[in-house]
Amino acid sequence: LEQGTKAEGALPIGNEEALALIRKIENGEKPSLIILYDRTSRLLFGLVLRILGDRALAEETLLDVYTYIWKQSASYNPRIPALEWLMAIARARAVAMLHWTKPDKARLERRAGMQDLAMTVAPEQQILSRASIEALIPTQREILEWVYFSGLSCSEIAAQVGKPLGVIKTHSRLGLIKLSEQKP
Amino acid sequence: LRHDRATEEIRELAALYALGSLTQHEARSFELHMQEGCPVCEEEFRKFEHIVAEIGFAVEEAETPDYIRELLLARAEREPQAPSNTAAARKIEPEPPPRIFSSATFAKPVKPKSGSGKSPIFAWILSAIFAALAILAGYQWKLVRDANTQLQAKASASLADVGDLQKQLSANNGKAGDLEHILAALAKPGTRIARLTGQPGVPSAPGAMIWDTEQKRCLLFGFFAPAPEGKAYQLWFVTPTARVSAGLVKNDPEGHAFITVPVPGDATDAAAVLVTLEPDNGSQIPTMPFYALGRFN
Repeated sequence: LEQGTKAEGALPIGNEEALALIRKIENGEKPSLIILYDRTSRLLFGLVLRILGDRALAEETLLDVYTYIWKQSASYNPRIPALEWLMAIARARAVAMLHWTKPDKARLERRAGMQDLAMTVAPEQQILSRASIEALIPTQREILEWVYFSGLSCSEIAAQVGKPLGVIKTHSRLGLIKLSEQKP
Repeated sequence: LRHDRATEEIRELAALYALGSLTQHEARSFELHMQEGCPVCEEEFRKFEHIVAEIGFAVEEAETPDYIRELLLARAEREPQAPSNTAAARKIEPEPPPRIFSSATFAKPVKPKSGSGKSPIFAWILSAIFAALAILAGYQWKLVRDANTQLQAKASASLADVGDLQKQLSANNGKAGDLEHILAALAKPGTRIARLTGQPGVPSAPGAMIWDTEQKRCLLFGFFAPAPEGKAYQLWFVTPTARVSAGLVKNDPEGHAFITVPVPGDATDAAAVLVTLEPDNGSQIPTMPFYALGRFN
């Protein structure tokens, strides 16, 4: 097993390739875990960093995410696309970490310090997602992002932003419906 | 209760459940409702589940530090995988995040039930004790986490040290092997030696060539600065009538060369050896200026 080298210059990974790697990981193949890490960690780290807004916590969480993938690869159900499963784990672990540690100061500036790197994971999906979210009306986008990245309940968010609970719920629902309408 | 069509209320519940933004109580109720078998709600949830994942794909990627990869490998070596076909394996999604310290928990302190027979002061004291214990536990956890982070950093540094030591050991073993070769070649009768010296106008090129006349092969060792892009060092035997190529000299990235080359049949009367800098596929005749030159004793 090669250590210390990254799969630089490899083609962006898609769902089928990620699925094949998860199957190998399920069979205990450590090299496949490292390949999956090399090929997907930048997107997962971007997500975790965005949620936590703190690099040290994000690094700790990223390690936790891939350890979870290693230990629980048998729980993967192919009903969910492989990359979505990875993203769901990353979000769940990051939000859990957020609730434990509450690094609130950095969260407001979480966009700052992000690097504009080349896309290594499902670039078409990333581009479409960004375009869909940009197409939302600003209030919907803001509330939907707040809900997604904070992991708080609508009532907690309503209390924090000082808006009625109904407004938060409606914008979240309408935002998701709008996103689904934009899906090809 | 099964629904026969998706109402706005159902869509909202499914959307917020997929987003993970229902309260624990609301989420549990919706889960139970789906587990009891309501295909309408299940379908709405599945639809929104995919849309929610789209939001995550819109984040910007970020460069990861190398040490996580090493730690992950170490963890995979240490931690066993959950077996297939277990209760855990049958679960579809990862467990929802624990919300132990959610703001709702602290925002709504539990009031003592009326008529419970216990004094409100007692309840407040209990609450205060639990709150203090929670803060203490959180602080302890943070301390442990910080210590863990430091240990991980140290472990990573130690791994790097071990790697360096292994490289050094390997290099030293290689040097010992090289010396054995040199000594063995020198011990043979009829051995000829040429000391290589750099020529004017080129970087210093210390080295030597030991010619095992019995086996008709030479051992070349020395230091040649890494060749420029598209160039390579070439070795030549200098006979009274010709300069005979003995092939390219490959050195390691640090410039060290240690190679054995067969002596060409038409170079058995060579009096000297030359090293030149040539195009990387070699030349038919040596190019001036010479890089290094040595005369056999």
